[in-house]
Amino acid sequence: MPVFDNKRPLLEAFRRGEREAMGTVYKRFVGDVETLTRRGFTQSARRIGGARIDEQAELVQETFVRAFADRARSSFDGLRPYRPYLLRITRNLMIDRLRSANGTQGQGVGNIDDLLENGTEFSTIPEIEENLHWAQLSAATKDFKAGLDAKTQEIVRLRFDEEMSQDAVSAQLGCTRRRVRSVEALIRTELRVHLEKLGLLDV
Amino acid sequence: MVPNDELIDRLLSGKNRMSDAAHDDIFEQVMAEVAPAKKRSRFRFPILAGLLVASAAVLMIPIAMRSAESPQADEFGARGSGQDIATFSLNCSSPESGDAPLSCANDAKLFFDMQGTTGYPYFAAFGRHTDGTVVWYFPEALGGHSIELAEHLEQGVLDRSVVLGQAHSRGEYQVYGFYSKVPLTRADIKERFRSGVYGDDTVLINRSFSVL
Repeated sequence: MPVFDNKRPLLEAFRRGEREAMGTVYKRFVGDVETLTRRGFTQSARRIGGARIDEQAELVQETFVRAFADRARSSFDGLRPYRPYLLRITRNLMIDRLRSANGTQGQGVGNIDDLLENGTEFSTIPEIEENLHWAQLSAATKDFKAGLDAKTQEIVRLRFDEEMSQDAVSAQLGCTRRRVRSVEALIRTELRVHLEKLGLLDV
Repeated sequence: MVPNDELIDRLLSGKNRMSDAAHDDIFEQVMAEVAPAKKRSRFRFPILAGLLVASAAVLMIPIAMRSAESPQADEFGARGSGQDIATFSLNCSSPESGDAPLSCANDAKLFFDMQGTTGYPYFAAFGRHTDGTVVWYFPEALGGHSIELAEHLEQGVLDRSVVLGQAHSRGEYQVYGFYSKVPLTRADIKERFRSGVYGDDTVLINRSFSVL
């Protein structure tokens, strides 16, 4: 359901620039915006590749900065669907950056204009692993994690996979938050070193 | 966060997408740009905020001084001149019996959490068993110097861990950590340790752990 349908108070609060309302809209769409930046798309037979990891965050941020700017927000009438409006901003930002097709293979999310017209959810589009480098990194990381002791593996799973806070992990495992933080930092360092030695990561 | 840090986090999560925390960070950046007038200090009254910070600092100093006298305290280290603070805690990769006192398997890795340290660019350490046997941690080589912390800290944790292994026999170890303003050799450290004279540029912190 479109985010503002039958939610006049939300629309009004959003137009006024209330933080909670902007947060609701942001959370509703940030996944789609990120997916678009990561996977890329085609348009008029031109391939716009997915952005690098550091650029993805920039594109997401810039999309919402533009969409949530005073003038854009206060003039939004709530009659048009918000998602296509937002994703067009992302699309235009990515076209501006003139991403080449060298970084990724495949079709990304597909033809962007068709998708926006049809309101297709990105989650329904199969995500075939298009990035061979990511596949290699993932395989090496899996080997690395398999070599960790059970408790460290559990910390990694709870912190990175489940995205639990350090406090929640320490409470669950019965250890101090400081220990969780220490293990986390050490694992990041050791994985980086592991991948650098394999030549999969630039030093 | 530099690109490789984000990549490492994604690999550890097994998902090639941003974490919820990363999304939250971006939202805060967006809010800072589009609604800076709405950004409030955590405290409505800056003077009150200043007083609260000052009173916290006053509380910190006596606790830190007590800790320098009783180095078994975990949370605070020694306070040197000005705002310098030296502290570390030990952890091992597979603690066998909770966190206090620290007990480690003999094949575990020992690592140093230096969070909170400031003002001391160099660090050296050795461990001493109750039977007097000494194991040098840093500098690792006989002719080496203290580690330069700026190059070796990952979120406050030293990026070099110590594999306990055969060099450590069962029993309790006291770990002596030397923070300094200049790089020290093993000979420098031994001399200061034996004489007990450290001057203004070196602070000694000790911690303990056991090998099972």
